[in-house]
Amino acid sequence: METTIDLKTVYVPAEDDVVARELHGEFIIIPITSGVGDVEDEIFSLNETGKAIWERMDGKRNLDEVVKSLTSDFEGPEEEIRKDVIGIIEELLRRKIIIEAR
Amino acid sequence: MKPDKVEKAFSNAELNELIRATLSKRASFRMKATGFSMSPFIQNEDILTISPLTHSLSSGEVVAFDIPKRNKLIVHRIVEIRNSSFVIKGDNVESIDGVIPGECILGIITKVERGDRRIYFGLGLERVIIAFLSKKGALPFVYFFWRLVPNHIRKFIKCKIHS
Repeated sequence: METTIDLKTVYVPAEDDVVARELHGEFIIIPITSGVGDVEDEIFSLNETGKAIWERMDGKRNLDEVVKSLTSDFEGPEEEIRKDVIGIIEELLRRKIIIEAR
Repeated sequence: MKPDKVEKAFSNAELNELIRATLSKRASFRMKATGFSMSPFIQNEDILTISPLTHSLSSGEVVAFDIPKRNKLIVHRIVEIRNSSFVIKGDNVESIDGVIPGECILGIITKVERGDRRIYFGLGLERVIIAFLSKKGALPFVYFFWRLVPNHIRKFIKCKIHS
């Protein structure tokens, strides 16, 4: 799979530009676009794996470490988990929901 | 795997939490109105933009607030200010919601959209008159007579008010 994602990079939620909440077991993300959080147009939900990835983007772990942490906590081959992580990171980056940690 | 774009109907408690979280980031919150208590100025399924408070609230402004312990999100109009509390009432209901403490106000309605149109009437300077009439219980009568005015004259008056 071709990707531009560097697994040594540390990503964090774009705190100022996103509202993320777990509501009744569902993890909801509302991007703030042009100063507006719009529940009528653009909200996203993450499944259990997505939420686990989100929670591990703590500003300390790079993606490689996130994958290793997930591999020890979830069943499944590391390669599959890595693919999942890259997929969701690409999408979250595209939507500017996460950013590289400084 | 990708994040799923979802359409979701939130409960009052969930909306309260999301509105507070969004407004705390100095951002506005866009959501669908439900109900008819602010009709005709805000109608069922209009899209509202709730913005953070940046100034002292005044009579006539439409605010989103929650009633403590009831966890109910309400969008109604301020009809009177008492010290640091607000007497709030729906334009289309007879009784007031009560005297609401300032800390219960989540934000102010800054934009109303109906379909592709933006609705200005009810949020401009005329809001002061609307609040006065609402408080006196005269708004339904005024609205009844307003509906008798030919459409083009109503449009002209609205344009003049907002020009």
